[in-house]
Order: sequence, then structure tokens, then C-alpha cells
Amino acid sequence: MDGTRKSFSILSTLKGFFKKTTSAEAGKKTRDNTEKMVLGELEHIYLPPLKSAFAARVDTGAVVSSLDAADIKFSKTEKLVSFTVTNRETKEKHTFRKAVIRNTTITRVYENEVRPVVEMDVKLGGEKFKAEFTLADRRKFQYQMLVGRNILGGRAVVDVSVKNMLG
Amino acid sequence: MRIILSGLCCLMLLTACAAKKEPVVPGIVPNTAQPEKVVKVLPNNVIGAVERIYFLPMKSPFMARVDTGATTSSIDADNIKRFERDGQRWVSFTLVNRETKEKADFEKPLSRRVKIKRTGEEEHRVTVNMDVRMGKETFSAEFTLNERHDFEYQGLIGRNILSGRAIVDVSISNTLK
Repeated sequence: MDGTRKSFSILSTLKGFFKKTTSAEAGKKTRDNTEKMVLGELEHIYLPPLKSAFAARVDTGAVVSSLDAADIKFSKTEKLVSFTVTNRETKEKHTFRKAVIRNTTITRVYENEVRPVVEMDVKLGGEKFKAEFTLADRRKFQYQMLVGRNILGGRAVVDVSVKNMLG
Repeated sequence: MRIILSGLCCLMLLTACAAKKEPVVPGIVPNTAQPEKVVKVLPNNVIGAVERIYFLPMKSPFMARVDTGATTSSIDADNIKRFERDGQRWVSFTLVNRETKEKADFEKPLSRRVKIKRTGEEEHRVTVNMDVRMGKETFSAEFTLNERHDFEYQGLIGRNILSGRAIVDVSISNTLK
């Protein structure tokens, strides 16, 4: 019966979902070179709960990863920050409220800028994990996100002759 | 008969409702199936976050940040001067090794002028082709000449050198001699 087949597919979807979550919890720093992901020069990155993928530059020159944030507002104590992330292609947007982990200085040509650092849920190369991101203004840049050494170290190697971006 | 039919209808409705609870795959996601790319990394072409590079004919290596975010490689230079020779554009400059103080003057044809974008701001720079050695490989590559001397490392290895030549593992450094 059609109904029975549909119920089975729901079960297998749920099973698959749970499997992914537990494998993502495997510690990244314990990996040796034989288990690292190979990332290209550019990758798709997801920031749950946003459903559309963001184009990210994979940047071994960046200490911390960076995301394109707007409407950055601090709480009175400056311990919390709210910001909006809008996907440039799909226009999908979400306002996040996060604890400020610390502030970091972005080196600029003329004037240094102080930016808040927050922890985000991330999905990259099929893996789900948490990582620190600087809230930056990346409107002048081609790619909205930067994947820096804090994400790459112990987790991935970078092959710039490859661009793992589709569409 | 009617009871059986209505019973069947209810059953189908229920299963149809249950089926609707399946997770919706959003149409805007370009690639839902991202297989995890795992590879056995060969020691030969893996380099780290910071590496040594030789600018021939200088004997001391320069420390360089391996930067997949940079399109072109760059080197810190002094006395950058542009001049003309036989109707061609040339550049003269000096490289001074921060560690050993070894100094060398260079004269090179101007490769091209580039616009550098550092966190949104633009600057113009000259680029030249340099003969370099990294590990066992000697080759020629384009370098932008920087006048800033306050970066952590004097050299920067960008994608023009890395592409097809090495993959980068930032959890290691100084793998090349």
C-alpha cells in the first residue's frame, strides 16, 4: 500500500538525520592527514538555520573566519550582540543573537578596526560543527564568507586548483 | 461495504497526513548532497601555514605566509623605483632579509600593475617575475612588491604559486628546507 511505503521513507529519513549528527560530533583535532577533508579555493558553507548556501573563500591567510554581518547591535552590557546575515543571491535573511566571545582587530591599510567575535553553527563539506567568526562588513568583497585557520586547522587541507562550488 | 470504504479513506488520509511531515528540501539550496571529501595526503606536495622561500640568487630564505586567500604572491621590498629602459617599463628594488640582513638589489621588467584589496580598501602595486626556490622546486612566479614592513612575514605565497603545485595544511609549518 502507498501509505506503508511513505511511512518507511519517513523512518529512513529520520535515521539518516540522526546518523549525520553523531558523526559530526567526532573531534576534528584528533584527525591525522589521512582523514582530512580536501577543500578547494572556494566552498559552499551553511549557517543554520539559513537554508541557502553561502559562497566562501577558503583563506589560510586568515586567523579567524569571517562572515558578512549587518545591523550589528550590542546589548547594554556589550556581552550580547545581534546581527543580520543576508544571503546575497537568495536574499534569505536571519537575525542572530549571540554572546560576544571577544573583540578582535582587523588589520586595515589606514585604520585598524575592532570587530566582535561570535560562535556560529556551521555546515561545511558535509560536516556540522561550531566555529568562531568575526562579524565583518564584506559588502565590497566578492564572497560573503571567509573560512580561516580556526576552521581549517586539524580539519582540512586546501587545494586551490579546485573550486568546489556548483552553480 | 461503506464502513470498509470510509475506513480505508480515513486510513489513507492519516497516512497522507503522516507523509506530509517529511522534511521539505528547499529548492534554493544549490547542492544538497555534499559527499565528504577525504583523501590520503601525500607528504610531497603538502605544505604548511608558513614556509621558507628563496629569492635567487640570495642565500638566505625568506619566511612566507602561505595564503590561499591571496591571488598573487608578494614580497616586502625597499626602494621600489620605476624606470624606462629601451622603451620598456622596469622596476628596481632591494630585498633585505629580516633575519640575516642579507641584501640584494634587483632590476626587473614590470610584469603588470595590480590593485590590492585589503579589507575593502584598494591600493596599487607593481608586480615582477622572480626566480624562486621552494623545497626542491625552482621556478619563476609573479610577485607584488610591498612597501609595508610590519607584516609578520616578509613573503606571501598566493594562489598563483600554489595552484597545481601544493596543497596547504595549516596545522603544520616549516616543512620545506
